[in-house]
Amino acid sequence: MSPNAIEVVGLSKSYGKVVALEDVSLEVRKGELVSLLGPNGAGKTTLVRHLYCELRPEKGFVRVLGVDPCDREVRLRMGVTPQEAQPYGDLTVFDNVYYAARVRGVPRDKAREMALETIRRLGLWEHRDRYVMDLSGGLRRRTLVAMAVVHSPEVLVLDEPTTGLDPMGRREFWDVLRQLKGEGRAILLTTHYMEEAEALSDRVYFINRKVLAEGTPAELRKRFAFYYEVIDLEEGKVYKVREDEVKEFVAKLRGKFEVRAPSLEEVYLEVMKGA
Amino acid sequence: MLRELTSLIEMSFRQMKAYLAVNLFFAIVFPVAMIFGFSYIVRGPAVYYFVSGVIVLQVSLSNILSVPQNIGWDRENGRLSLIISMGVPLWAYAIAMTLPNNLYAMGSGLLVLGVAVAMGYLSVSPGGLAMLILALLVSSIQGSMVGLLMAARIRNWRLLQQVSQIAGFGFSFFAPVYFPLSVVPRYLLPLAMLEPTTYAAQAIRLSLLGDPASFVWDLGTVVYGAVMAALASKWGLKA
Repeated sequence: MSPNAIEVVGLSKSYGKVVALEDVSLEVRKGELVSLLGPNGAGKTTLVRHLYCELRPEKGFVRVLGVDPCDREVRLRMGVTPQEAQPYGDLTVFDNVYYAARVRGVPRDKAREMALETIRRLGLWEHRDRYVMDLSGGLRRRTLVAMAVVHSPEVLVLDEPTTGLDPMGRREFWDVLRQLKGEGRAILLTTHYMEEAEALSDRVYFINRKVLAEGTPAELRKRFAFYYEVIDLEEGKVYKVREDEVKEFVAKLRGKFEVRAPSLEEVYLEVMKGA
Repeated sequence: MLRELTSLIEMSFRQMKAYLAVNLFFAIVFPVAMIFGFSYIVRGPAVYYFVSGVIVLQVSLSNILSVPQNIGWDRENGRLSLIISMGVPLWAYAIAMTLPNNLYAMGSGLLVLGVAVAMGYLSVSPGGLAMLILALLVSSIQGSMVGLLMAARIRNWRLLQQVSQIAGFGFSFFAPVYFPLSVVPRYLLPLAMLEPTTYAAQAIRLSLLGDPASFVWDLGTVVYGAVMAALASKWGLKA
């Protein structure tokens, strides 16, 4: 049995003459959190839309839990938060989560039990009877995630789930993701926030229509760390120094200094610049 | 799939609760006010055109206007994607979306009749009432199919809003709804026959009169609705 929860092989997609994806391959193993990073228009959302059968591949194929995601049964084992999707504003938090379970075929009593449990777990308990339209952006996002996880899916696909959240809301959301990952779910996350990917991911894919780089955040930083930042704290100056010259460079400094490897964001910018 | 479908329908009814005041206003107060308000100036045989016209307006607004707007709004907010991701076919979503509108339109139509009868405006035989229920059912489904077709064909939210508003009101006032089909000039007849409300209005008015010719217009309404459904199915509802 394949250890991959998500498998994308040679996926290509065009919109007219615009190529959105070109021979993209990636995998998310069971129990792993993988982030997709790329600029706007890089094809992240197009890729995600293939994972829940909103789009069909032109070339290549997609498998979720070893099955074509257009098979309805496998979508019942997935939880998805599509980009910019909003819960139903004219339903309460409870109703949104409850019906998310019901439309997936969960019996009434069980759905009620699961909805209440999920609402409690995601910190929505005190808001459960409020209409979603009356909630803040962060609580709406959390409601959307609750709708995605209420039926205990094995695979989670979250398309930019933290966009628009304030730093506090984002940190709270990270805790939720860590909790879900800790439960052994496979999670594919698309994000624009490098610190988010770095803090949460087991592995990262940089994509811009095609896969540009892949690895753990540490591997990527190591692979693309062509220089170090040396900060002269006495002078308040920042120098970019090649790896093989660092020792020699810092030996010449007088006073305190700091040596810093490039962040994932700097690596990302480097990779995208060369793409 | 039946369980999932009934859950979606139940959810649609729940959604109506959030806007209960406006829903009740348009379902009850608005038609009642129309009948009361125009009772002084509408007299004689014109009453049948007026009452059937108000019923057609309710059907048109609840389906030709509301169905595409609701679907467009859900699409705009990514909820069609959400529905697909939950493994629910969009046809099931479309049924769940249109059914409450159909029931709403039918209930409202019967209320209009009830008020008109209570005011002594007109009387309807039991046979006529049965014909009216049938006419309301097919008209409402036909209106939903027109709305569904608009939602399938027009994916730009701004455009869909405009087209559905123009269609919802236009088909109510620029079709032989409040006046007889016979007064439409010959050169405009083909256009009138392209309007869905032409069929619904004749079926509803004739049913009030207890005229079996209502069934012929019911059939026309069904055929029209079936063509719209076939086209909507061909183009498909997309997220």
